[in-house]
Amino acid sequence: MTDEERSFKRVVGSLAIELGIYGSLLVLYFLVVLRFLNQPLTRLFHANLIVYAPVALVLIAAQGVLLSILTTFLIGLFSPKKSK
Amino acid sequence: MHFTIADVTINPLLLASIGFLVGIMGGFFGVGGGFIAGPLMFLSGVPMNFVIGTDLAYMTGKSIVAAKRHRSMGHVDVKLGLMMVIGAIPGVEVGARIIEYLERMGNIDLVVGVIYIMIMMGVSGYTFWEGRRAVRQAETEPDTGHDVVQTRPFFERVQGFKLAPMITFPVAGIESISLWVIIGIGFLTGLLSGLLGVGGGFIRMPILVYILGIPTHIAIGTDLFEIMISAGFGTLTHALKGNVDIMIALVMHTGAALGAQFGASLTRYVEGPRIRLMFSILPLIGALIMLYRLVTGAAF
Repeated sequence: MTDEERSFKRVVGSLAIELGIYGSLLVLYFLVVLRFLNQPLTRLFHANLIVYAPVALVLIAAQGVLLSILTTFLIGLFSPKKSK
Repeated sequence: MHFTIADVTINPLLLASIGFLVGIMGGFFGVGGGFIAGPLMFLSGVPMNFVIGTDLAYMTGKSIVAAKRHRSMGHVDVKLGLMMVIGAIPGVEVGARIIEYLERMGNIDLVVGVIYIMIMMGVSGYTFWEGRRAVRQAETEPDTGHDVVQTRPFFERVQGFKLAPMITFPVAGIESISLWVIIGIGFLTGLLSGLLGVGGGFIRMPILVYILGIPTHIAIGTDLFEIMISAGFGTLTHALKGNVDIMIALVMHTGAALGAQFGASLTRYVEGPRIRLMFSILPLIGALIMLYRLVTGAAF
């Protein structure tokens, strides 16, 4: 088995650990943040689409940046240094 | 979980799982994945009028994660991506006008469906043929490098087209190319995108590789950067029409964020020709889904 194959296997293995941790964080996120956001966003959707549209874009972009930082941290935490 | 904007109850873990699977594909191949995510969203219960807009919103977030990851690996040519957007915007508009014209003529679904299937089958067949030859060449002639492309004489002629202004794209490895070629290719991908109603990832990636001669990994990263901009614009326009349930998009994106990171990281372990060979399956799936829609009249 080559170094690259070993490294690939380690990366796939680390994904399972990351999925476990990430899954727990997601449940928390669903319960705390998304449930809290549901009603205000629905009211905004029905009241003013001109405000809702940029708010929606900002929310998905902000979540993109935040989750990117979180997943990069998790991948960096569990990935073998040799793979870099 | 009840999503009050679309007024529908869906298991959030199902949405996150769809996001995760499509995210891996998007990060690995540099496509938005709307042609697969759309039908899966519809089948999981998202109302049809919310599918396209919500999918675009989720695609925006997913592309941010994947493009950021690719950029950290040096796979994104931001300048090239921005230049292509300049051509793509009028292209999308012309494509939309052609659609309006076809609507007036009637039989639009059949005409667009047949064009879609032909283009997808063509892209799939060509990338399969080229990818297989390139994989064989890379195995038998290791000196040729890891990202062998069979269209080298063609893209060398494209890069040799001298019409000022000439520009350089160091990240993509292009020393000098006419700005008009880049805008023209952006226009072509925008036209196909507007005409066929797709994000254009699985048209743009092969075009970047075969016509411009960009290494596969940089084509994937740059494509994702462009998807981020175009999907963001699409999210705004669809949200203004009331077609985006941002809560569904946020939930799907939680799964996609990890999938996109993982897919993007996987590209480090696979050489360009093999990625193209695997990529050839995607347009085929898109063509089969469209064929199914045309034959059965399904809504997705």
